[in-house]
Amino acid sequence: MSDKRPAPAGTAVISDQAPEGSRRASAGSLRVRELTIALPGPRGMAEVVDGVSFDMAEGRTTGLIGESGSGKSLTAMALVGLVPDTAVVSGQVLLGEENLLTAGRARIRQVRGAEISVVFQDPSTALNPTMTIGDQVGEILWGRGVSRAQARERAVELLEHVGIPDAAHRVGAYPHEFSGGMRQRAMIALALAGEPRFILADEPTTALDVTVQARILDLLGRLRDEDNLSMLLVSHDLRVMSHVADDLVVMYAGRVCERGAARTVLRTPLHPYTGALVRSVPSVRVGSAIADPLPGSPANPFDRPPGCPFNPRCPRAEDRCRTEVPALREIAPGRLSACHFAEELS
Amino acid sequence: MLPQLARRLGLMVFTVWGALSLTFVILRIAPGDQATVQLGPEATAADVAALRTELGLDRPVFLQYLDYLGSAVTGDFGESYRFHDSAMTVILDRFPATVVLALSATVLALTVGLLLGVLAGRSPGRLTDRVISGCTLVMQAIPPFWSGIMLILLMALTLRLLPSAGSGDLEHLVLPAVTLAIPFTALVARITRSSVAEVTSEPYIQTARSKGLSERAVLTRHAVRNSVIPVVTMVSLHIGTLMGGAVIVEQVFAWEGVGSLLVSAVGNRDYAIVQGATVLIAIIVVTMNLLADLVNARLDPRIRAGVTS
Ligand SMILES: Nc1ncnc2c1ncn2[C@@H]1O[C@H](COP(=O)(O)OP(=O)(O)OP(=O)(O)O)[C@@H](O)[C@H]1O
Ligand code: SF4
Ligand SMILES: [Mg+2]
Repeated sequence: MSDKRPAPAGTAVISDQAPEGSRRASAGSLRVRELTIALPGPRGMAEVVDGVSFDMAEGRTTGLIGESGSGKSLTAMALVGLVPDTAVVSGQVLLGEENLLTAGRARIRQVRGAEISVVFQDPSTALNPTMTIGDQVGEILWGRGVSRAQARERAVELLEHVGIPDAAHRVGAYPHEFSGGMRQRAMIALALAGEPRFILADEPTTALDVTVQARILDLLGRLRDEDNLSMLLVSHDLRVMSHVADDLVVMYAGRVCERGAARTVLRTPLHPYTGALVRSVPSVRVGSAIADPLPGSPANPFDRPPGCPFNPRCPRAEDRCRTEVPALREIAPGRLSACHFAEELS
Repeated sequence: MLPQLARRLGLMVFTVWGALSLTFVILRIAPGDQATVQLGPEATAADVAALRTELGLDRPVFLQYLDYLGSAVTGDFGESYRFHDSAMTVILDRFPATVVLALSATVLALTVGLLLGVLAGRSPGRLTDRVISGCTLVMQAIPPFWSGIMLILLMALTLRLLPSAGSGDLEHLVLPAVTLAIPFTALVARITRSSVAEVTSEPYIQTARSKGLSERAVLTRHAVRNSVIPVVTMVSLHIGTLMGGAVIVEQVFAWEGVGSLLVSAVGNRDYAIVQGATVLIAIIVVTMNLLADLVNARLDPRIRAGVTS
């Protein structure tokens, strides 16, 4: 089985995993700096993603969490240039020393699939209904001098790799002949076909049955380790994050409000929004069975309140919060928070 | 698969039977019959009555209907009194001309319509789209007899490029085929446009882009095939309209096909021809519908699964 495993894309394989909190050399990371995405809204262009910075560290799973509309998907898709035509994007997405945001269309197309792949949310709509699974998985190889027959063989290997039984036969099937979980496995095989180093998984389990969600998350974790991938996992589900994320980026209304190693962020949140998120999920907080739902409704990123965007819902809000935008600051080593009173929370 | 096919064939037979019966009923309801028209206004009542007896027109309508059905099943629609020949022979003689006309118009409409539709649909709201959508809106509204006359005025009488009327060769085919194709092209373009616009916003198109495919590959490998499926369905539903248009266009351009034969037969109460031609057109329509369904089953594995299970 192991001889059929896809080799990691032409990079030096670094033997062990990074210990928590350690910062690797940036060559193996994808670094996002001050990413800002403006979209036309009811009152002109609005920065629905505003100055977002984080690293996708090599070999780790970076969790991007936030409520619906907080800009998670836009942020993730901007890394491969898949934003709406009307979007104005600025900042930096650094692959090595190269800024992908200024790299040009042809270069971005080279990067897609080969360096950075995407696993989409709903595999029942994200797969082409009239193309066989095998063709969709192998298609990325067609343009690289690989024959269709070879691409199909490779597709069988990849389907086996993601745990699809009887792959040699299922390779000719169409998406509607697969169950939801199998479709998502096929989607993952598709994302692996170009041997990328980075995988962006946008809510990869949200559309699936609860029973298969855990298995897909396990699969993603296994692949990350076996193929030495770096993963960005977008989710609004803290329970998912607490299981699989190594690092956490918490977004609120298009801005990062907290960043750090997942475990410590969830154990001792340094931002009231993260705290409220944690309290809203009973099983995440040890010793509490009672969920404490988040009060109020998410801020509209097209119409952010002045000052700290979380202030209308924040129990700790003071006058300063309504006028002064809190900057994202390092509070403790590897712990960043965008709350004026972060120090008092620790 | 078999019950599906059986049901499908049953439906086709039912449709043709419907066309057959409706024609029969309408011909009997219409004032005048073959005897009065054949003998002309000077004929005596006695002569007319004698001819009616000879033709069997004085028998109870229901018996006439049963007779007619019985022989229609064997392909026998009786003699045409004007051609002094079996109606089927006369109709089949004209049949190739209609097939050529309808097929040319269909091919023309599909090529141009799909092309325009894809161009418009891949960038909805842009200038290309607005120009194409405007043109197709006008094209769809023009009745074929009017566009036919306009084309004759322009191409035949003013520019003298093509003959205005006649039948048989390519020179004579161009104008009627174009006339017939105009509203059909517009229809195909409009459906293709909305279909492409819809398909290109599907998540799997984003997936295709995420593989690093060129926009051209995304369009041809992923968007077009999925967009064509509803187009084929709609085209299939409008085959009847196309055949109706063919009848008028043949008449305008004196194209000697089944359509112009049918129009003259109606005027002359040539029952045998009218009934035979109507049934033939009905058979063409249901066959084309079946063909369209098979094409769609070929294009869409989900339909294929439905057809074969
Ligand atoms: N194509 C678009 N056109 C206009 N606005 C958009 C578009 N895509 C996203 N937005 C807006 O940008 C904001 C952020 O959207 P995004 O999809 O990134 O949110 P999200 O955090 O992924 O939310 P969800 O959990 O619902 O997926 C939302 O307010 C959304 O309405
Ligand atoms: S800055 Fe103020 S409003 Fe914002 S999270 Fe901190 S305390 Fe709450
Ligand atoms: Mg999203």
